[in-house]
Amino acid sequence: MDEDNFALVEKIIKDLHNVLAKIPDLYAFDVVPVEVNYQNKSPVLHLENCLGLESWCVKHVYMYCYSELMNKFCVKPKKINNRISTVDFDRVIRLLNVTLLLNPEISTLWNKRRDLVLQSSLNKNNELHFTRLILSRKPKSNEAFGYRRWLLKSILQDDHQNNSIETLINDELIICNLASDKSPNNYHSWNHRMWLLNTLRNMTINFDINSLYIKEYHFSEKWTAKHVSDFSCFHYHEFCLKNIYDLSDKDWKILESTLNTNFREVFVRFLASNFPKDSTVQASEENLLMYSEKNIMSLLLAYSNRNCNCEVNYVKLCRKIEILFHALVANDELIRFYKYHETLWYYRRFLIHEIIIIMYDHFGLVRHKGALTKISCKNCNFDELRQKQAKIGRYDVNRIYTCILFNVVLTHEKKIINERRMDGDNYADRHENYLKFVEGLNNVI
Amino acid sequence: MVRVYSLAILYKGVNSATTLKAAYDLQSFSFFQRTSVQEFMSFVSKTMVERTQPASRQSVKEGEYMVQVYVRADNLAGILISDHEYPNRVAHTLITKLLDEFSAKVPADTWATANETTVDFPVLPQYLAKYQNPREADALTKIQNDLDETKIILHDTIKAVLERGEKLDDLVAKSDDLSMHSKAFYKTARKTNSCCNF
Repeated sequence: MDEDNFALVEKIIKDLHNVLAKIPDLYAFDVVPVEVNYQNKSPVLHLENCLGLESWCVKHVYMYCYSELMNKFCVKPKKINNRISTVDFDRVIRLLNVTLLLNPEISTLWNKRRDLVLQSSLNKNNELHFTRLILSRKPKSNEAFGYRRWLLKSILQDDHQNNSIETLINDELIICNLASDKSPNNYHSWNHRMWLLNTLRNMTINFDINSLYIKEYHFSEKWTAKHVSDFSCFHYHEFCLKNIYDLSDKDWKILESTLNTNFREVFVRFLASNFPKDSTVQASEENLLMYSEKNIMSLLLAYSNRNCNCEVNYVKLCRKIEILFHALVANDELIRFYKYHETLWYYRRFLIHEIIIIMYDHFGLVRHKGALTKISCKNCNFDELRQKQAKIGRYDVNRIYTCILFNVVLTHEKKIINERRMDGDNYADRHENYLKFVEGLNNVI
Repeated sequence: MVRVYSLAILYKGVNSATTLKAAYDLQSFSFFQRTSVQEFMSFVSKTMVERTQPASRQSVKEGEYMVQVYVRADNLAGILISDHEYPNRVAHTLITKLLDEFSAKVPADTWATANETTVDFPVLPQYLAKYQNPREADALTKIQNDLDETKIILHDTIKAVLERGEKLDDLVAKSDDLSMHSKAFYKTARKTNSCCNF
């Protein structure tokens, strides 16, 4: 690099630093493509809380900052005491800011920042804000998300009784929204979101995690309806769905009012339109609505292979099934409206799989290496067979496949597959093959 | 993301097309790119209309974007730029509806000479906002499958629509509608090939 450029680069570093320091509400950074420096103007742009840098200077600035950082501040310490003096600190932080803005994929520099945070030279909240800038340009930066997780962990550990935890969570969710919106299939942002929920679950703080679960389920349902080919968000939706399996009565009501649906009605309508014709049980929609959870489940899953006396929690079982059917109905609509999207079918596989697993579980069975086997009851470890896994007879299998719920699901799947075959893609056929060969329903379809 | 970026009505003249009205929603682009993106979308709209035969529909997929064009027999054209998830049928229904409304409101003899400032047709931004959610909008208009018989021709890239020997790069370089800034933006976007832009 020419000697002349040094002064210019120093000036750019200073300008960038001034903007970063003075404007606390900056929310976006970008490199603006300007190939030649026509006018003798500073390449640092600052408009409406957005920071921009013209592309012609990026190479020079980056090389300059990077080499100074690496040569001066990131060498192996000769002495154990490697504290950065206050004079150096200001310099280091400027260089770090610039280099990371331009290229956030350098772990060494993020670790340098971690060092400075541990020395209490950097404020954790400001650091959170800085990563936001990075994510505005590179929404898939794993290092930036990782750094955020590290910061959050230590903030959450610092004080458990922190009142600002709600704002902290909200900010985090907003950042994830922005990052997911900016780049489709953003594994990193959805993964970060999951990490946040899991961390909160495992913390012993006074925080209503269930209401967050409900909120997140609602959010992800809306989001997936508008991002029909983004499996990352569908995966998060699956995660949210599993979270709300075990809600209390009160939370269940809140969930229903948040989503503005009556799960039972949706479920019963589904049942009524797919009820097996030859069934001896005749149930109309009105009748089914009057049934209690226990009755409706006994009707649908008439047979149980359980040999122990454990009480079955019918309310919980019924709710699980209701929420899954609610999701299945929503998926029907999406598949009909947005054709040709594989993601929707993959999500459908998940739903069907969950429903089937719940049924097997209820019957005390498990699918192992392609064959159904008995399992011992999880609650009482009752195991009359004295064998961990025992094959079950054809007779038993047939009884499962004749239970009403199973037939309802199957009838509905067949309907959808036949309807969607006309679309001109092979997703419907592949769905059928999945049911046949992966779920092992070859004999019944 | 199911999203509409731009909605425009053009008139296809003998040699070139003129924009009669256009609306954009560029919130999802970074602040410094918006003006370039807008210029570019209007450039693409013009180019596409010029290369579409009257009385035909085209859907062109370019990367993660989708361009839907409909040029009517009377040379009035509608164009919608969305992302690739946006359902084609809804897009074309919307264009048809818009063009009908436009021709009812603005007399046909003024089309050839009008431009964006002289045309009084303020509803585009409303439609743009409403059709961000195609499911709701479609249910409201209750027009399910009544697209006219005009077949939609599907193309996988813009290249397929250009005439023989034409190149998008050359068109961009020659265009007077694009600023230096937008041309630089186009070049970098080409180089980084946005899908690999991690």
